[in-house]
Amino acid sequence: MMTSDWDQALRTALCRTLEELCFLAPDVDAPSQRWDELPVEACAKVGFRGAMVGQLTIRLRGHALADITRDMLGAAETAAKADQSDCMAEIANVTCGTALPLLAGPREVFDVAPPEVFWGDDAHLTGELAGRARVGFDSGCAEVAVYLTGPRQP
Amino acid sequence: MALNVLVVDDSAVMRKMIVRALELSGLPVARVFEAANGATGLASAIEHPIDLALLDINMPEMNGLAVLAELRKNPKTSELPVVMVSTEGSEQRMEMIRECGAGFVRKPFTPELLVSAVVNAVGGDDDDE
Repeated sequence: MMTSDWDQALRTALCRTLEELCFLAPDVDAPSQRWDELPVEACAKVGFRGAMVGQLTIRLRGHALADITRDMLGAAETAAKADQSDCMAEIANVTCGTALPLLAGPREVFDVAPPEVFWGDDAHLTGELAGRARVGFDSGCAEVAVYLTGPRQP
Repeated sequence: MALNVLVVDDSAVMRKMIVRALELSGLPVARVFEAANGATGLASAIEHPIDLALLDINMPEMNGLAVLAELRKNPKTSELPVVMVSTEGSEQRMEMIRECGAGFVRKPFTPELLVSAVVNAVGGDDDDE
């Protein structure tokens, strides 16, 4: 796969996660300059090991996580910080689980590590950037990237 | 008969989403037991009169596939209806899950998909839902 294919696969996985897990309406066509001005609210990374080895990261820009968490839980009140962190982890976990079969094929088996969540833009990333995508929604945007530290599919 | 349901997932948010989907489904649920890792979930399945288990795969301490294998080995839980609820969806793992007689729902799921898998697992018919 070429990097542009990886970017597309990551965009597909992220959109599916935002729609089906977070009940958001992703907007891939919104002007990206708007998103650059938004602060990183939280990021999460998930390590994976299989046909390729690396980590998938999600960055959430804006101030949307409390609302996303509340919507996911169907709760009326503001979501607790612990639930927001858990929600961020699940967004990364689900995006990773959706992206890996698109990137490596449906038969490949991966061991996926528990997600790590960081408040602000604090994830320490290593490896070669293999693909990334950014998707906007009403009150912010989400960025996904994959960094590889082991063999990549041809 | 109202069901005792065990939900095993290391994500508290995901456990809440699963429980909420079950509550909104109209399925007769008597009691929900929750566990945040595979080892605790397995112990809970053996200790309590569980009618259905919903298991994540990627969890600390003991993953969901290992829990499923242990459940099938134990005479007390060998026939327990199980639905795996996970982001893991490789064909190889799906075959393994099917061979163990468990259902599968891929995350993210709609409440309808989850309920349909639950009904199939407990041997019901969701045509009337």
